[in-house]
Amino acid sequence: MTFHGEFYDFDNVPIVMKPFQQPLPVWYGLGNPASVAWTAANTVTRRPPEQVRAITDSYRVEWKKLGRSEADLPMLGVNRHIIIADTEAEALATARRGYPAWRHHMGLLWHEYNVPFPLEAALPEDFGILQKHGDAIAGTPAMVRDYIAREIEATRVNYYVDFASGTITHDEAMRSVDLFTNEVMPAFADA
Amino acid sequence: MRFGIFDHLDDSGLPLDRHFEARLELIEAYDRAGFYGYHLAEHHNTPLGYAPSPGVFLAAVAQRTRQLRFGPMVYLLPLYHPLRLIDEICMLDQMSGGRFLYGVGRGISPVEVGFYGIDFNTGAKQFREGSRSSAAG
Repeated sequence: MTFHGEFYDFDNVPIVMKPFQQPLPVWYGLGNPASVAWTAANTVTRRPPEQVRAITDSYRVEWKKLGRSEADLPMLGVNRHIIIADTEAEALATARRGYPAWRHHMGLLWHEYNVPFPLEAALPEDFGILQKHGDAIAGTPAMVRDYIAREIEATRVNYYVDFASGTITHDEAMRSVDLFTNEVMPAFADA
Repeated sequence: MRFGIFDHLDDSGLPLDRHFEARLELIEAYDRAGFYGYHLAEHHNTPLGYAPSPGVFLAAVAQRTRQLRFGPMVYLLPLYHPLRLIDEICMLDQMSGGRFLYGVGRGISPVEVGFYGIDFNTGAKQFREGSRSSAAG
């Protein structure tokens, strides 16, 4: 393999290993709907629903231009904070404890080095406000099912991605996954 | 509809060895539940991300799961030499029987890449070059 660039430069290097998958799936975290044109890859974004919809619409347009079918569409994912517990009160208590710690970590280096944090407005420090903006849900399995159904309809994604926050306890995380698996996922088996 | 997980592996207050083990147990639960993908963020020198070498943690994920796909979300490409990256990708994809999801980007934090002496403004160009050269491999 030979490559000559400004940052990397090498000649006739033997490449002796190949990935198992051919081709290897490529993923991007996508912030800007305008980036879609160069992206025929899989993506996950945490933008608000109407912006996610702009991304998935652009993807479908680009995909059609390539003559490809809807069934082969890349994975188009949206990323939200989801905490499930047996009661809404328990889920909210967990989220109100876990989310601010993660949010603090998100902004930490930016603040320490006096660089404006680009997600300052998108990530309110209070979980209640995040939930009010529609970027998160803490509740019972039924509430989470309704929330995800609305989001899928609004965004037209085919992939739904939950945040794993390190600051909730292991038992809370395991219970949340358990409820998600048994009481939320089956409702979307055919969606 | 498929479901996935995005994880910063941020500080949990647990001692780090227990934090890693607890998270691997949670990932085993994702695997049993039939989640499609586990996406791990790469951050540096911050409690936001305790997987600054995501490939190391993902090698453990490969061995603790059966069907779950996994990958970095995303590799901060300017921090990797393309030849080194090609090797790591091949290893993780082969070690998991083809479950690796190759996530790439230039990162969002000028502070973190700055620790490595990388100018965020040339990072995009370096990202494109790294991306082109690693795709060739």
